[in-house]
Amino acid sequence: MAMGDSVPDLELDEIMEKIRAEVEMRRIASSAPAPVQASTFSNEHPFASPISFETPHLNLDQPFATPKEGSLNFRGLACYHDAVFVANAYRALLRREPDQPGLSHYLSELRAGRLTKAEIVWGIRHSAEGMASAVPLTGILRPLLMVRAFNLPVLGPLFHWFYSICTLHRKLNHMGMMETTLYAREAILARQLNAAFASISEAVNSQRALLDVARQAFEKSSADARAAHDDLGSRAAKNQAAIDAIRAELAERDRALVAHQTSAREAYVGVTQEMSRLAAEQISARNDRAQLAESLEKFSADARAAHDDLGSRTAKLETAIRPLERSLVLRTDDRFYADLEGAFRGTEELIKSRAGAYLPFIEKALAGTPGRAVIDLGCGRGEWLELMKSHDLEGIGVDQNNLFIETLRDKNIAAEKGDLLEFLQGRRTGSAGAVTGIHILEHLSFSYLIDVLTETTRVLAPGGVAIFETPNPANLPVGAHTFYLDPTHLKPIPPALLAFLVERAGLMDVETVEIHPPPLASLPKPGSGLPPELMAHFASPQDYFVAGWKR
Amino acid sequence: MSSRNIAVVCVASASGEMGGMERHYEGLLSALRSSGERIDAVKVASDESNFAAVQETYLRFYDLDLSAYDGVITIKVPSYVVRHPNHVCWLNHTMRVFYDMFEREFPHPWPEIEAQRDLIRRLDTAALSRPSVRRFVVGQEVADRLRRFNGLEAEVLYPGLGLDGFRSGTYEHLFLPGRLHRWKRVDLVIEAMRFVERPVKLLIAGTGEDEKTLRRKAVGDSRIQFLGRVSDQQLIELYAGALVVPFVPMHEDYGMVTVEAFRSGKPVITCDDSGEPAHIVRDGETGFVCPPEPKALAAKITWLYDHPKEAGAMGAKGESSVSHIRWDVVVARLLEALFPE
Repeated sequence: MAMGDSVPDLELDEIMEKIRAEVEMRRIASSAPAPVQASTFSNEHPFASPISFETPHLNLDQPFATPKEGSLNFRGLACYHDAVFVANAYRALLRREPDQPGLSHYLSELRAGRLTKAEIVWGIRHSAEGMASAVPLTGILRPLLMVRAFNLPVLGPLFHWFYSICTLHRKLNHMGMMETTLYAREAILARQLNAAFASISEAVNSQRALLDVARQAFEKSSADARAAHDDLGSRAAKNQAAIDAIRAELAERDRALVAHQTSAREAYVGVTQEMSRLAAEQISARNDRAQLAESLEKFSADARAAHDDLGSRTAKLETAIRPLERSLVLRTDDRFYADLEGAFRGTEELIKSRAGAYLPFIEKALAGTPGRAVIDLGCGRGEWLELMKSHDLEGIGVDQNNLFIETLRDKNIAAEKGDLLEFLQGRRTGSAGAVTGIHILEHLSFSYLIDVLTETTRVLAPGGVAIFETPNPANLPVGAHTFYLDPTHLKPIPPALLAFLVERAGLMDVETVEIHPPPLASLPKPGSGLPPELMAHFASPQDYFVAGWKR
Repeated sequence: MSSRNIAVVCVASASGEMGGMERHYEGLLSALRSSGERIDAVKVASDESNFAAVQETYLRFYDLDLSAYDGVITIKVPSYVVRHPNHVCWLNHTMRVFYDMFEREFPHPWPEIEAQRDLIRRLDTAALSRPSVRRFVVGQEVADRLRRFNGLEAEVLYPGLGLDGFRSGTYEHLFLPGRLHRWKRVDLVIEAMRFVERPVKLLIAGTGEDEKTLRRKAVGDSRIQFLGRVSDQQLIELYAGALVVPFVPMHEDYGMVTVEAFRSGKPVITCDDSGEPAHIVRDGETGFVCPPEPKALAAKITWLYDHPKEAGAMGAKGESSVSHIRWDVVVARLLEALFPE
């Protein structure tokens, strides 16, 4: 274990408490400034509000009204002085506030005495802008001329003196008026000043009162802080003592726990060893299981392979058996069978006339027409094929017997030598109008017979018919005796069985018809003592056929 | 035997994000409830957005009062700092950014971040080494990390799946579900596709912070499709039709995807640095474990594409290799650890 000697539980607690302190600190730092005690300071404290004075606007000049219409009298302008005069002249004559360069130019000329008010007014009025405004101006000519006259060389000063003496009484009047005006202005100034002083002293007094409140609050809070500081000091001392005690106790516990831990660790090591041993066992068990699974898998694969092998061998055997089965039937040579047929089957004429019974079926199935040929299985001597040919019906025969086939070829009748099943398998689905088998099924093994019926159904076109004729074992002498005249017959097929098989192969409207009743001469004589029910067995027709339709 | 009160301490993400973790909780809770014990899911909010938030989250769990319970099960960081005398921690992972992912995330660490890392490691070690805590982990990978970084041993206990009904179908496309985050290394699979000269589709399901980057990377390869979020049913279907699941994350803790793929009878290609998937996948038997290189990955994908029968056989083996991963097994083991009798 990587752990040091400290006790785990305690270490976690220690770290977590440190984190708690950090989180607390952060919370304090990020929250709003500590709220001040309400009793000492209100949140809207007095220093915050700005001191405001009502400073009254002092204007000693009469307001100047720019005449909107009519003429401007020079006297109306001349009663103003200095900057106000220049500004008013601008407003009156140019209808605008003076620009700074213009104002300062005229002002300096006026103040230096280089220009009189009349000259300034005249100058502004006759500037390009003044001419454009074209404010009618009256009462300017006299003062202007006077100024011009005073400025004449030699005579000017004399004229000036003379004029001055003449107008002395008016000047004195003006002075008196001036004096009165100045006194009045002084009075206004004094009133304004008194009002301003009063409002200043009022503001100062209110601030002083606020300062007093603040000072008291500050003194109280610093006293509180001192007290709190003292308290903290004493608490810290107490805490220190407590911490020392806890430390001592912790050290004591530490020692005990280290001892405890040592034994615990030994136990733990034992347990981990046991665990790893168990884990190893588990792993080996797992490996065993994997191996088992693998061998099981291999075993089942083998079993599957063996099963497949068996299947394919069975199939092979079945295919091998089929020719063997057939050879059971066909071991006889062709000559022998042809002779046999000649001896027992009946004359070709008889056979042909009997086969004529099937012509209506062929017609109804529209068989023997192009694309719907009649296939005659086991055609033998070809009586049936010959009959069809004479009715212009298209037919093809198949037989194992070489001699029969050769004879048919000589007669120009279509026939092939070969295996019936293979022949059917070689035909396209739905390519035959009829399939006939006259006295052939009794030569076939049962499984082969089933295959022949299945294939027959396949090659038949819709509406096609299958007809199979075979000896009727319901006739006692046939079943017991004559059937075996042909040693290549395997066993008789009861009519019900054949009808069932044909239906099962997929053909519809299956009918069974018993044909060829025995000649009366061959029946037991009436009165021979034979019970009538047994008599029926002798009298049953000797053959039957089953016909089925492809839908 | 009367049933006992058990608290399962669940961590609720502050961002409200739903993911594999919620399924994990649901799977465990429903399996525990069917055991007959009285189970409470105690949810506590967690915020990992910055270190201060992390500290506060640790404190929230530490201060949790669980004295009313007979036993406590914790899973996700940092729920294991809770204080209780009978405590089973079935750890899925610690804060990986301070562990195996630290060097990757901070290639040039500064002293403050190193101090934070050391604090978290000390804290986790202290919390998990308490005698009151019995330790389990969700996979071999987490067990290895716990040993390497914290010097602690733990028993491996694989969680069950959050979803049932996985089935095997045809073997057609490459399927890769999951969060589109750089740690899942989806880009490696996209790069590998450049070397896969077969008309095989790569279907990528899921969303995530790196989706845009990945989509850009796949531009020009019409075989690669992004499906976005898919339903549970779609997920099962996508697994069922997969040829292989190329799951190549970096040091994955558990990687539910591996088990889900096996449940669906699919082989898994993973990388030797992928963590738990590399422990679960048997190279050449239930899939492939290859180096994290696009060409190596592409070679395996191509081989499986050319050998679908073998892919099927590997998937079937994979399926039987994870048959023991079940919730009832998990619950039985956890209860046995809580109440040994």
